[in-house]
Amino acid sequence: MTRENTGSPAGRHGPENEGGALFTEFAALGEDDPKRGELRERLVRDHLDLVRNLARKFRNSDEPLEDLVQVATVGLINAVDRFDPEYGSDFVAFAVPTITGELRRHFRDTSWSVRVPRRLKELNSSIAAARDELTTRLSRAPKPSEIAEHLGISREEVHEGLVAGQGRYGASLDSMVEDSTPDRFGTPDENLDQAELRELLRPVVATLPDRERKIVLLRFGLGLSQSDIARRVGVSQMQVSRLLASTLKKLREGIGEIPPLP
Amino acid sequence: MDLEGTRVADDESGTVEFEVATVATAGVVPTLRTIAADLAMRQDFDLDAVDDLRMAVDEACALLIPAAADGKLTCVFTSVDGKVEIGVSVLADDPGLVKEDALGWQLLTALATSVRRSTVPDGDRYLSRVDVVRESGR
Repeated sequence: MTRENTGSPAGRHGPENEGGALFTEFAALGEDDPKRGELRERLVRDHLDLVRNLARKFRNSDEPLEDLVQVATVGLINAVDRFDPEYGSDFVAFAVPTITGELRRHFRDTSWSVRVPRRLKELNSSIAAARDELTTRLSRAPKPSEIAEHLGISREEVHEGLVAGQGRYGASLDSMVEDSTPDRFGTPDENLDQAELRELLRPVVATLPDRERKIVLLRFGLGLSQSDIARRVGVSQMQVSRLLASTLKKLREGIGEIPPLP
Repeated sequence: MDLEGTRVADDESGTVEFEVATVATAGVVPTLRTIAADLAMRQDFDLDAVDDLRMAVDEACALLIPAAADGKLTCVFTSVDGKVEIGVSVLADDPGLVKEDALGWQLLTALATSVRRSTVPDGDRYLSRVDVVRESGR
């Protein structure tokens, strides 16, 4: 099949315009037309960039990007199936809300590891939004009472929403004690070769200012992401990144390590 | 889950104190940290302080649970004006339990307003205890 050119006015971006003609053709085909599947696939493939773009906007540290692309692609397929060129000619304008809707639904419904009533999920997401907004406004983490006032709900509801949020991500029960295996006998300590390094670092870490020490421990002790740390310590993620870099340099110098070549 | 609570005090001033006696397994830790976080939230701690306290309970338990010789863990929660205190204790065979250089201990000191550890001989064992205090503002 060749691409049709509608020859519409210049200035509009290419693929969507071309898509417009393809969509008219697609809509004209009957349900059982053998060409339908082929055309549908092509329309979907033509817009995969849009999907990746939107999935990236929804990216957070907890959901793999690949999963989001999958979800967004389902949204795109739905958009291709539902789009009616008679109604409006711009497919992208129709597809974007359909795809973002699918992504939002994914975050709301399926990314929770414990089944929580929908009311609480919605409560939790408005609390999360309020928390971000108030953190910026107050330059510190908000108190439950401040969130309650901001959202015009009771303290008890804030409470409930926050507790529900704990069910969002699960963690293995073994994660707490998996590094202590008392029944193992006579096996070499896997951390033994780290012991010397730890002893070297300990006095240097102890001399760090409180904030730097906290950031280093949160990053390398608990393995939190830089943006999580930024939120907890009340600075921007860029600052965390800079502080980490300068702290690591300090630590290197403290133990007399030759810095890596730039 | 084997968890038993005793209310020690709940007076007019709003002070709440109670003791939870439970098995020393990782499975009870989420419950304990939720109790601590709940007390902090009720005192209107800012949310980062609540998270800090939750992690501090995790760390204190992670330090003590592997050492519990009789498989029991006791946790005392005290919530007084602007302050939540948690005392976690186990009976251990070894007196030198919590070392200050341990990463877990460093984390605890970073997360809590103050941390104290103590070891008291108890029969042929040692009562090892970690006390975590977190105040609402730092």
